[in-house]
Amino acid sequence: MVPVSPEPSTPPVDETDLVARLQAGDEAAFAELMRTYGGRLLATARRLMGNDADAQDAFQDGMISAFRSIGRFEGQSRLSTWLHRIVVNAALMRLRSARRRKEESVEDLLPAYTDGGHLREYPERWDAPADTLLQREEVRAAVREAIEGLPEKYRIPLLLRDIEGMTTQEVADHLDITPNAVKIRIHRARLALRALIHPHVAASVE
Amino acid sequence: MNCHEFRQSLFAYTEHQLGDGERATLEGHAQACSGCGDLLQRASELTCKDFVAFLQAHLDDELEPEQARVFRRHLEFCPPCVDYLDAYEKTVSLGREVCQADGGLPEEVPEQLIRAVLEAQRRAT
Ligand SMILES: [Zn+2]
Ligand SMILES: [Zn+2]
Repeated sequence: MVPVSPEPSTPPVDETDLVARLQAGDEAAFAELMRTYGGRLLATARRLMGNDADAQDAFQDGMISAFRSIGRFEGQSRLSTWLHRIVVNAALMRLRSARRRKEESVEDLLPAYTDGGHLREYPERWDAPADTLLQREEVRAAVREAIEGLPEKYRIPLLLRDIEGMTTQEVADHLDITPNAVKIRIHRARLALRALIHPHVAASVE
Repeated sequence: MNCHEFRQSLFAYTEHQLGDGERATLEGHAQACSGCGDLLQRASELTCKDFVAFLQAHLDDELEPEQARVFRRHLEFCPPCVDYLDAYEKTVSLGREVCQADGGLPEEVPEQLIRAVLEAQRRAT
């Protein structure tokens, strides 16, 4: 797996040495592990959980489970990649066991078609390039809010694939659904996001 | 029927709104006129709904050659879908960029959290 987030091309610390100390159960090494790799992991947890408190809980679950299973880390993948997977799993476990919010539907946000399969609405174009749109705080806020507001069923696959950089197959394995179901959910999530962002983008054209 | 009238009626044709006579006239023109024949072909081989369903596979480069061909041909003749594709692509990159800018920067893990994890770890063993 290649996370989209930039990773240093060389490990910031001597991974082999750190892993050896962790495998020996060294608590200082554990703290060092969290200081070195924790930032990105905590950010991942926050994206998935949606708030700081739950993110910290998921981070804690993940870190403890990493410390316990470090004996099984064989260095075939990068340590950061291995940790990322563990934290994602810890977050998903928490999401699964959390009292389920009512699953809202995104149906209303999907494009509507005529009987002959034409788009029912022909909205204004998004003239501005993505880079320009990104400079507008209103647009950024709308995107953030739109993603956070997506039902979990759609938000999680979208985040795992588009943001955390997993492949469709990896997302399917994590969520225990078929690759095809992953694709459908991500597609719907994007269509819904497009509709949610649209008023802000169209309105921000100068 | 001339080419202008053909284009005027094409939408109604694809929506199955034409009577038998009108439909035959339109199809007759499409057979005689290669430009309009091509339009009719494009309108029939892929609807906008199919087009939208293909968007993700298009982005992932997973369309079969024949699907990719009709996808491109649809794009050449349907302005709403050109705009829709553009918005879809921008949606994906906006989502990516905003999330990464928010959470991608290497942030510090609060020392308090690190201490809490260490403590929880100690308690658990
Ligand atoms: Zn003609
Ligand atoms: Zn179209």
